[in-house]
Amino acid sequence: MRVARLRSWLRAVFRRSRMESDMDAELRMHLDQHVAGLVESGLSPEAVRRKARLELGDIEVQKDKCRTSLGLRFWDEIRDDLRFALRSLNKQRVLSVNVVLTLMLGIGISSGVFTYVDAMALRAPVDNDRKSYVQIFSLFTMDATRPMNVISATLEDYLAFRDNARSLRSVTAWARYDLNFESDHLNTTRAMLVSDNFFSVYGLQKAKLGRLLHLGDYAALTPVAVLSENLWRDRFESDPLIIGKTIHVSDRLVTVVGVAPRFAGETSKVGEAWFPYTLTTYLGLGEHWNPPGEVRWLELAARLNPGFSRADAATELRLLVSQQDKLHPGRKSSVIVTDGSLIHEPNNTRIVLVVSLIVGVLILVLLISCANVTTLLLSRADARQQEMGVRLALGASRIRIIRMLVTEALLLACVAGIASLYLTYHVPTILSRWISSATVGFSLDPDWRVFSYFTGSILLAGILAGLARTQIPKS
Amino acid sequence: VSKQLDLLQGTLDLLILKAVSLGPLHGYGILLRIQQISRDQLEILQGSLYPALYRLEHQGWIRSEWGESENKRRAKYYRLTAGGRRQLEEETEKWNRMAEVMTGILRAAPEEV
Repeated sequence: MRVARLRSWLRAVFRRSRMESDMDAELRMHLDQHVAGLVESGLSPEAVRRKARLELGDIEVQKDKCRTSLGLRFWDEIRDDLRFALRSLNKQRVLSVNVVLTLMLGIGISSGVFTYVDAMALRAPVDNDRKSYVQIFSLFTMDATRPMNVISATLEDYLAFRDNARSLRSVTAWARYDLNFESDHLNTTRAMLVSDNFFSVYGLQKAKLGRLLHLGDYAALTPVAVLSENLWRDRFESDPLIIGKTIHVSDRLVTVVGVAPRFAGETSKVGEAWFPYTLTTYLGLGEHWNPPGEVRWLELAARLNPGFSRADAATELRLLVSQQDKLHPGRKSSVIVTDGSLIHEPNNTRIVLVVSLIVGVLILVLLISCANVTTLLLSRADARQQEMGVRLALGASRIRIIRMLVTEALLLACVAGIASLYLTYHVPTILSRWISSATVGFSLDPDWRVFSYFTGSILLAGILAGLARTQIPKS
Repeated sequence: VSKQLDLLQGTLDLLILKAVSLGPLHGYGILLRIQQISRDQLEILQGSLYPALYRLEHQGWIRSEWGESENKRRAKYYRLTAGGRRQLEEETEKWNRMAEVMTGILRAAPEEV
């Protein structure tokens, strides 16, 4: 029977004028027949007509009841509400434009900036499986009476973590340098010395050209490099035959084995190259005054194995690093494991301050837009008191008037929503271009929860204000 | 008029289904048919007839098509559908059961309790 209802409803909606004229003809035919029947019983024609009309009831009321039977009333009213809302917004154009602009700036800029802050400081800089990403910070001191410093890790510690930690899979290490490429002694280019799993930890599985680094490169005699797409495009003119060619890095020869597409692990806007970390000496990097086991130069990140928490990983790594301490008398080490967000980096109080400042300002902007929209809608509600009175006197129900007002507010909201969506989408990219020279390899897509939360709160305030002030007298 | 019975809630649909089950009818014809079968004991309030017809057609129990009336005018005729026939049987059975139960209750004498 549900199919029958749907078919009947569709027919009524899509062949509306036909249905209306049929209904009219049917009811008039009924009246005529009734009149004819009554005339036979001998009453005067006027009396008959009057009696027939009384018995059937008003034709328009009848029609409305029939429409209700077909399930059309609800949609008719929505359509009428929308049509009326459009008309009244058009009539108060200045106010409507004002509300839309305020909402657009309030919602669009707030959620745009928040998206940027969120991406830069509040979450891990990766796009795939954000929850499993961890960053590992080493702490160490040679003087047990003083607090430990946050510092880079030694290669030995890294290898101990990589080979023994069961709570982590693919622990990766990197060190960041700026070197002269192709004997260009005026400019430096970012060189990342990384472990072979660096790409996969940041979600890159395949090279654009050639291949990524693999374990064999770390023991091989030929020094190799993977170029970023930007570097390949800008410095090597997108040479399709780049694979296998040798380039000069710090005046040493390195063979290009691959070009990596854009991915979350990139750190430079203008292009960079990745080398096996075993190339430090070859490229003349690192310090030479410390014994190899005590050079601290590596940054560490990893992915959690399923079923392990960051706390599990921290406990395990502390145990591993304390075993390492036994090889270095006097050294006392620990680790901190974070979710990889900027704000959770140890000793990073400045970021906390900056983020709270930005978020504070955003909340202020949001509140101001809220107040603004509310005031605008309030003033309109005041001006319409009389209109509401007339509507009530003409027989509109309270619920009907409220629906009409809510439709107006929602229509306004839709327009503003689309406009602010545009801003939300573009603000983070613009900000990222302005603020920092570092590239953002990870996604800056808007946070939809934040966007809908902002939108929702402003709208709710607006609608409630509009309704609260429209004191609809009880009929 | 005073000897006419008031229609019980929900019985109008059943009466309409029954009336059109005896052959296709237009709205006014349904009214007459019900009065005729009930020997003028029942009078349908005309105001509720058409909303009920539209509702039944919306449910798929009756179907309408335009035809020519006895006095050569275009009229909309209603006929029962297969689904409507099932509904009529179901409702009739329900009605009979209800009537039986009610009669039983109203007949109850003090010694039976």
